[in-house]
Amino acid sequence: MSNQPEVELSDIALVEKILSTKDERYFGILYDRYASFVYNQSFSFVDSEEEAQDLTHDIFIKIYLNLKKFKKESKLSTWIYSIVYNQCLNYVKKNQKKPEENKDLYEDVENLEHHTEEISDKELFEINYAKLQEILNQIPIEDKAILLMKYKDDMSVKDISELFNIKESAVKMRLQRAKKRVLELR
Amino acid sequence: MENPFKKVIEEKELPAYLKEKVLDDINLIKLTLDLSELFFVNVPDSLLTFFKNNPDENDKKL
Repeated sequence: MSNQPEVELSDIALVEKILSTKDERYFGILYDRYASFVYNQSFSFVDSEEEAQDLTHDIFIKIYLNLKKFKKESKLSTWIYSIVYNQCLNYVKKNQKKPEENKDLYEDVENLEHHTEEISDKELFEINYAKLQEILNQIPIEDKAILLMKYKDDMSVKDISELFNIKESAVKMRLQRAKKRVLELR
Repeated sequence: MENPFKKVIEEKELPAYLKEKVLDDINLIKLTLDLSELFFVNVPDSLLTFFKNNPDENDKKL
């Protein structure tokens, strides 16, 4: 192999190189591609830079250890996002002071149907960003995460449903509920 | 209308030392996995193959 690993490799080719060569420089390329994304996502779940850095470190170790399980038919970014989300959620749940506020993302969709009237994005976007920041810190972490995925990271409902392995209708309902919670606190 | 979600989290820069720490820890994990494979898989396999292939000589030695 040459001294300089090819930085132009596609994500899939890069994963194959990491697994076949076990050359740490290839993992270094993967780190360079996703470090900022992982760090900033982690930072949206915790309060301090130190915690976000610790989470970023642990997430990359987890990515390395689980790389064999990555299914090449999905996008690497989505797979990494699922690791980030799960790691951050576990961390926050372990450290939060008010566990009763948290609800499982995978809860029964049937129970949500009574409060799923359509809320437009316009209503949500009318909120000032400083106020929105404050509200996002008050709502359950799962609601915050799904709103950030949809409106900050521009993920489609389909992407989110694949990420959590739940139906698209469940994602839509979850989004509606999260939006409702935000509007109640505005 | 402007999307306020785009502004709620400012982009932070990750310190450079973290990459080194991640890669160092990954090397340590690799070494640990290689050593465990050597002692728990390769060495027992080699010993088993040796004893299977040389049953007479092993008997003599005993």
